[in-house]
Amino acid sequence: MNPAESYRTGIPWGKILSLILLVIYLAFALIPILWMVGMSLKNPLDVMAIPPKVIFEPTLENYARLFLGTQYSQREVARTDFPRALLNTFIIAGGATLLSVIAGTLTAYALARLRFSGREDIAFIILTFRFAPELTIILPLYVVYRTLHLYNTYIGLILIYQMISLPLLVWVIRGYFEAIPYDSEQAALVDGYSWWGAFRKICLPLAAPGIAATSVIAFIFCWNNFTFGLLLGARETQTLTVATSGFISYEQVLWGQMAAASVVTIIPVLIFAFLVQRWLVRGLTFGAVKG
Amino acid sequence: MAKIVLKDLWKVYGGEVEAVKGINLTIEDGEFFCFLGPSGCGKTSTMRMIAGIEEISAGQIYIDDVVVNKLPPAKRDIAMAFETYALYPPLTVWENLAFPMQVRGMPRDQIEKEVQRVARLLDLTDVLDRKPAHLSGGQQQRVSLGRAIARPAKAYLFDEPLSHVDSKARLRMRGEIKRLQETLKTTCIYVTHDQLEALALGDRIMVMNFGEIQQVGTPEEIYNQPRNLFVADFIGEPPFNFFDGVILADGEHLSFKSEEAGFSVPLPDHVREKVAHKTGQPVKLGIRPMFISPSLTETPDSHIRGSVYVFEDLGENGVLTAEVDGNLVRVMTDPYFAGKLDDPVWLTLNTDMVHIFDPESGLNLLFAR
Repeated sequence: MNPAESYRTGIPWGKILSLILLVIYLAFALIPILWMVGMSLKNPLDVMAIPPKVIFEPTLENYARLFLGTQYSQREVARTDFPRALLNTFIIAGGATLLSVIAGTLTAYALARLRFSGREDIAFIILTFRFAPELTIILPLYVVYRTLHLYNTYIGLILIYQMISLPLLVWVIRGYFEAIPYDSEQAALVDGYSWWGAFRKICLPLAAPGIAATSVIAFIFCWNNFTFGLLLGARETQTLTVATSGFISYEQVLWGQMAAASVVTIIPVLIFAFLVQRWLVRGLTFGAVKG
Repeated sequence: MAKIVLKDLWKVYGGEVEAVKGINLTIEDGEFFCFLGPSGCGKTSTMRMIAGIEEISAGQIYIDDVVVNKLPPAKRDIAMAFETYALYPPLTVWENLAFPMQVRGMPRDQIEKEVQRVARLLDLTDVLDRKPAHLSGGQQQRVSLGRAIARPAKAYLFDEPLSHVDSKARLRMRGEIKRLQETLKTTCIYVTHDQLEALALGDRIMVMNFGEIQQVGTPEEIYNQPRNLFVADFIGEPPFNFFDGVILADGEHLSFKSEEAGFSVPLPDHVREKVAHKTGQPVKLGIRPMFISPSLTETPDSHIRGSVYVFEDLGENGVLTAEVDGNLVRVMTDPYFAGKLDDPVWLTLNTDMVHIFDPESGLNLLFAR
């Protein structure tokens, strides 16, 4: 039997092994999420049951409480902060992403195209925003925010959240711009377009899918941030991650509601992640470049 | 319509690489001017500085007597075809061609007319609604050329516009470009590394190497009066033959003697007066392949004895490469040359057509000032 035949008829160990590893990874990644979804559908008694109940009677009570408030007796309703937090997070993460997409695209373009002294230094400094753990800067920042009356304001939180998204956007979009042949843009300049015209008509359409994909990732990063929201925001500007953590109180942990809050939190992120995947796969095409 | 003047023009990349070293040049209004040189000689950098897409390191560029150093490209009113095509990938061919006219606010029906005219001229009518990615390299290059010539401009700059077009279409388009320029009488600058293209198109040619001007002149001057070894070697196919030797005096007469090739030729009168001061010194003798005639038998006036290295029959004529004492000498012949490999062959130089070069400076002593 020659080697090629033995390869064909033998047991495909490689395939089996990779399949096993994939299953292990999937379990590792998905079981906590499934567990959480299950928990969000359990009543408080089922949540605490030991051994855990796999079969139980699902209830939407946790979600109802999340959005409508907690009923104590028949009449009294405790107000819920959760819808507000959802809105806050959209405003803050969205605002920060929008701000950093505008600033980041222009910065990335300058870093990709213009020749000026200190260019690499500036690019590096922007990246260093992501080096230090947020907690190391939060104390001085807290004082600054108090002094400038930015504490617990949308503007203040958008400004600090864009520190999360801007470096990512600048560095990724810069790569996209560098991949666009400069000649096409210069041709537009010679053809009579202003710098802005050439940028808008040639560069931007080509980089748009990349910018969109990166923006979504940046948005997800902002969405998931906890530290800044916790320490620089308060009740009026509370974000989802902070609101979710609020279910751990001094007296008890509201597991069911916390799980429900977590599920609600990850839904927009999941939707966006699927969108990114599509865009990234499509990628960029530079048809008119000589190979 | 514009006169373009380059004054002490320098381009230095990153403070180190000197791409263009102090060029002085006047391109007359309505002239078809070719920049010719090997890759990396600075011809494209020079053109890009004229277009305004490359910063000028030092010196000035005048367009119609106005310094344009600080003018953005859009304000210079110059059209350019890029070697890399530089098409706009998101736009169709039609939109690519119309792009420069749209920004000028030309009326739609006029744009349509111009696009159709250019498309017919460049054989692009069938692909007008395709995107550049779906075109062949040659088609893309023609779109790039079309985009440049679709609109009126003070000057047209062409950076190797035919380098990727197949040879048959290239000949036709070369003719079209020449005709277009002669009809419009617009100043054109044409960058190429193909000496034939430069000779065929240019009213005048600038030959460049290492960022410096080697020679500026009409095709005839460049071809017949090469100023130095570089120009002589670069222009003409097959290239110049060079022999090392010395100038010897024999009373009134001067002759050139090559020890290694083992021959000696008398120098004609017009050469004698130019090279007399080099008597006894080493020089290089250059002669074009068309001014050497081969013979398979020894004749009284033949100068050099060699052997047939290879013979190429090109149909209309032939190129004989003869080996002369280890060196290869190229000779233009008729296609009926009958020599076989390693046959002895005798070469006769047309001594009226020799050039004498100074081996140190490379200058052609016949035209040295």
